[in-house]
Amino acid sequence: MKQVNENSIWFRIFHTPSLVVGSILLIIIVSALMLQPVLTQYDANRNDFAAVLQPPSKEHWFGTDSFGRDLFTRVLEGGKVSLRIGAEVVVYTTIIGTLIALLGGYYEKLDVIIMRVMDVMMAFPTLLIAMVLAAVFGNSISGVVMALTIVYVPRTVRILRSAILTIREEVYVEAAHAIGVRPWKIMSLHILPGAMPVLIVQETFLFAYAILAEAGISFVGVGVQPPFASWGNILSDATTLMSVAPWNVFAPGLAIVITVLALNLIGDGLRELLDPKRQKGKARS
Amino acid sequence: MEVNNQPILRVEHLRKYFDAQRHVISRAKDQIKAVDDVSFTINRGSTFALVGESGCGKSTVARLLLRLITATDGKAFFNDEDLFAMSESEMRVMRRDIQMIFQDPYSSLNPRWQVRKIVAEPLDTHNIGTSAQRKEMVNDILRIVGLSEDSGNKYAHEFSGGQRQRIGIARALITNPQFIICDEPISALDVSIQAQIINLLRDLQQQYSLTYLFITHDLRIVKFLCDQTAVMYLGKLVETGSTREIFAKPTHPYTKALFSAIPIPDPYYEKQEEPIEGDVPSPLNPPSGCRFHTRCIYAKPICSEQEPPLTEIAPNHSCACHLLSEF
Repeated sequence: MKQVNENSIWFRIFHTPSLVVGSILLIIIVSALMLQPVLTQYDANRNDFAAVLQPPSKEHWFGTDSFGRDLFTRVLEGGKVSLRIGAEVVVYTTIIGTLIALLGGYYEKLDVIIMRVMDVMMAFPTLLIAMVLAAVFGNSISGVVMALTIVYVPRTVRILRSAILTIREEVYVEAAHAIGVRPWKIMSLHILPGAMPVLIVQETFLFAYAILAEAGISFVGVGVQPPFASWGNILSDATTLMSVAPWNVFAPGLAIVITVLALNLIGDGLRELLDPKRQKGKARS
Repeated sequence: MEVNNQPILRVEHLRKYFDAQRHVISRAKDQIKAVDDVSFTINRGSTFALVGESGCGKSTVARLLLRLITATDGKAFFNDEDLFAMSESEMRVMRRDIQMIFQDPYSSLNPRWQVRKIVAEPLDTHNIGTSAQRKEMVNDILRIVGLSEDSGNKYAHEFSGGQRQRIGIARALITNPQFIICDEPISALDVSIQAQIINLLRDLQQQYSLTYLFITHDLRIVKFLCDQTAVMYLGKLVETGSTREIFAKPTHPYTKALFSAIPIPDPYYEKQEEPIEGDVPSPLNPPSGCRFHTRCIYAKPICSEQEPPLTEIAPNHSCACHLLSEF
């Protein structure tokens, strides 16, 4: 019989159902976005007043909106924008958040100042401050990215810092000090890798939050501007049509729900996978 | 064991006071006197035992010597160089010669690293040898501490407690240090494994003429392994001397109480109780005078008024007690 190594990374990945399901969903979504030119023959921004507010049919899978635009095409087009914003927010918050958290973990006096600034930033309601910032930065994709990055950096810093503070007190870190390892090396070799699982999980959830927040910002009209599609502004256009053409709401709404669900499943799965206490043979205490 | 009288480490009036905030608003502060005026000398090639109850400041002494925490006052001369006066980079050079074995073999090894990397960390830090030489040295040291070479490719969690402590010893030994601080290296291990580790430490000492500062609360090991003994109570040394002297003539009431607490595997043995009453007082507000007077069965009024100095009662045997003449 073939020997199965229960500690091999692939074995563990395939035995984390939420991770598998989430990843499959996300792969389907991303490939649908990539294959948009093949999947539909419509132009996302071309009006067709002969086909206004048509319900879902063979020609228009998700129906059409009040300008006669194919909703399936627009959802895919908007998905690219939404996911791009989510991904960019994740990248920037990770970089900036890690740098700030490391500075705080390294210089204890700076830490006090940093954390108070973060506290102030976190005191504002997330979506509200993001909308204000997006309006300030101009109604564009990069404006939304900047706004969401500023809003989400404090969360990343706080979570990463708490992980850093815990690991900093570990005996193996003290042992490294005793050996004479330089502080920045202790940070990068011992402490940061230990905080990595926490960061990865947090950033996966943040991806989902960012997509939701982008939808919220564009919904009130300060985010991505029409005619360019994003899930938020498709949804925004659809509100007035809710009773007449409800598919206008369902198409982008479903896209958001499925994407956020996929990302949350991945986040949960990663949390399970990366938690050393749940690994076989590693469990102790 | 070959012991000469050349001191390798001389600790003078070592003090460490921790601040403890008593009141949030007035910011009044109390001081925890974790280590208070501790002096001792360790000779090259010998083993020096630091004995005491949990919380008496033994481990704080170890951390002070390695400058993991900063001393409030005092000096520590290692080969006649003051460790506390050194710059960080001078100290880094010194760390090659002063290594530490930690109490908990579980948390003192990075769970994400292979054993090979853990053991090689001191070499990488101090730029010793080429990478091929380092690999060779790691293999050698693993063999010396009784582990197979291929155990270097495993992670710490794949080993038992005793084997992990061997990894910790390998890490401490790889820079070929002169002085190793053993902070209760066996108290987290099974009794059967304790003997193995103790024998390993003793063999290594003879082979590499190491000097140990052995922190423990287990007096049986002290008798077996250590040349000099210092008994610590609430941050102060109450009795110091050669192990033989102290075991033959324990003088301080606290030392006596410790000895009477050693279980003797003889059902007919009549124990001569030196009872020790109550709990260790809080180091936050240590008792006045002799810190032991609250639990001492011989306590006299003077004990709570004056602090007894450490006085020599025999060659290489000192004791801090007011009632020496009465014993």
